[in-house]
Amino acid sequence: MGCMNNRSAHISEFPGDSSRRETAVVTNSASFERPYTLDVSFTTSSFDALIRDLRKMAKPITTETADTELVALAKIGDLDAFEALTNRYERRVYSLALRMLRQEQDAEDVTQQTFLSAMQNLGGFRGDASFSTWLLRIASHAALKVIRKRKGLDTISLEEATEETDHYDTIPHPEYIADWRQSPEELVHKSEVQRLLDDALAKLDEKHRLVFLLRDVEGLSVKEAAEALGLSEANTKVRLLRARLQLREELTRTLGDPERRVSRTAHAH
Amino acid sequence: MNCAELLTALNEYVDGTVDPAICEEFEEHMAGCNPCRVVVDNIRKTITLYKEGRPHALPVQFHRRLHTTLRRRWKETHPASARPTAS
Repeated sequence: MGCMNNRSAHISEFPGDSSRRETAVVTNSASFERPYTLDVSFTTSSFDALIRDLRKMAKPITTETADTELVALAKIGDLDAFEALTNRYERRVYSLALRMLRQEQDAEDVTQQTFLSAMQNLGGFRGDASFSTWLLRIASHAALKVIRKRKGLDTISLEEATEETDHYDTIPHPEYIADWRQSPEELVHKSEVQRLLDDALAKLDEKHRLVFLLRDVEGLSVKEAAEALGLSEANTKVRLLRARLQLREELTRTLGDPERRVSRTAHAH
Repeated sequence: MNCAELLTALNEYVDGTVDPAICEEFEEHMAGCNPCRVVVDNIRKTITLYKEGRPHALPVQFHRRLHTTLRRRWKETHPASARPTAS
């Protein structure tokens, strides 16, 4: 990978995932950016035109129906379309809420709130972001509200009055270093790997877990994650790095090939 | 590039947003340092796993409750909604 091509996608996009059918990874400078729709961004007149066409066609809704069509149908009062969107994204919303809140009842409440809010605000959704991005933003805001309430904080910031700053020099260096035995594509289907991912996330401090979930899992930019959490961008980056390194450490202890373990002292400096 | 500098640039390098000059230093370092190469690769795979991980299933009762609640609220707020059906 040349440095001039440092902007190429560094993560793989798994083919055949129907929930991302109308999206693709766009290779750009933010290689980990969330896939977004390649369709033209829908203006009001675009949605109106789509709605007129859909009224004429009255196609049955299937699991293949694109998000933009479902949203357009829901906007004109089609409950089946809204339910189809709910079925499509409820697990992702619930997963995000559960990982952020670590408590099932709270996660259920946030999930329900998210879809009720989406229902209420659908009229204002113009398609500037993809529907899934919009929905997951609603979910993360709702979850953060719960976290603030738990801490008895009124303000946006999840910190006490003084933002607790992480420092690069306190981040533990990698200890267990080994190439993994299998690729992410092979691993992701295994239920024991999903459990491993959840366990590793649970071991993070909340302040590191939230940054990782918002930035790396849900694809917010560092700036957006910082704003959502009421942190400085600099502090957000340090916390992100700590989260990434700690998760790497946990996962590699299980997924790394012990035959190929590298000694840390072999590190060049 | 020393250890501290490498650490501060690690996020951007993994994300592909690092300055090209720093990128070159990084690549130079990794060419001669296998542990760092492996750590960077591990981090990329870690992020991929989390991004591509299968979401949790909803508890069955909650799934039913959620859809019942949504349908009820929909009907309250869309009294006249009727979908044109395919003939």
